[in-house]
Amino acid sequence: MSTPPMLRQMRHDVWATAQLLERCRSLTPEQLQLAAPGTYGSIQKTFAHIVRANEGYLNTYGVIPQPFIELTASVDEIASRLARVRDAVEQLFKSKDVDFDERIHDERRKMDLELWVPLAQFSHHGSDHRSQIGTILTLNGLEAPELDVWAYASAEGAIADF
Amino acid sequence: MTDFLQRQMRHGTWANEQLLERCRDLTDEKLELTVPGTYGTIRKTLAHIVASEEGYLVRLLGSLLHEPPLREPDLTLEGIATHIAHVASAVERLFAKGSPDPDRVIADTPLRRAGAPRFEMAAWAPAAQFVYHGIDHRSQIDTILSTHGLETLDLQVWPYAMALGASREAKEDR
Repeated sequence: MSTPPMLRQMRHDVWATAQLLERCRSLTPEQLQLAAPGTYGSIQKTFAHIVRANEGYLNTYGVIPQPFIELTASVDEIASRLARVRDAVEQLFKSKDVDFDERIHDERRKMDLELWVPLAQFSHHGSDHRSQIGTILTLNGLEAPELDVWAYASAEGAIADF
Repeated sequence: MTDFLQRQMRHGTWANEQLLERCRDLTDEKLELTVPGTYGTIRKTLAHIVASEEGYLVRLLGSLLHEPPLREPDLTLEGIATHIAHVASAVERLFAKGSPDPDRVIADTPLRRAGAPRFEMAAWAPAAQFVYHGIDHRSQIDTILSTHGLETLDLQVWPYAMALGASREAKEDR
């Protein structure tokens, strides 16, 4: 049976955040506080924001409870929460009960929405903010890892060079 | 049920169109703005997004979207608009007969130049890269606009879903 493309994308998303976080473990505390104009904030705060948002999107489906991570969280805490996000993604796709076209009332957001929306936003949001961290790193002369799907698919053995 | 990937590709096209309209308000000089750490100028980055999306779709469909193919784009905004329309049309063709098999192995692309290496890949890879690549580079354009004190756009899935009617503020008497 095929792996759902959306699950592939979410796995790539979590993989990319984990790769970038590992890269940033070698940064000094001062470097983790670097930012750039036009971005969300410091590297550390942006990571926490990505994972906090991931938790919020997954909370919509009941696979992650509140409270969500604080924006002041350490790199270790962010990594720990990201592992929980990874598990929740797998749990979500193991369930056969989710109809992503279903419209629900989301009390936390005070919105009515179709269930595909938070999941698509999950993928968009992480990529958007990782791009900002990449810009901050490059702007400050620091190496940024390759996080695109080509790199992920190669690591997964889904691309072969002939 | 609408394929998830189709929803995401449509969102990407919508975001490109929104960004293009924002760029129409910029002067030629502003379209050439950039900041260190990004791909390049606003105009060049938008052209790169659209050209890459055509490339992913050519690989997925197994045929060129038009002759000659777009290889090294140095596009005006009107040229970018034309190619966004090509992408939008190709996305619909990709899903016209149902959801494509994500595990289908694609052995080559019609865009490969003679002598260039050939890559075999599962179809999910260029499809997911389509979604990722656009978000990454639109984020860079957002950073350029913001850095230069220019108005940015909210291109997340939330406003797209609102525009579609797939999300709305809940009525108070609920």
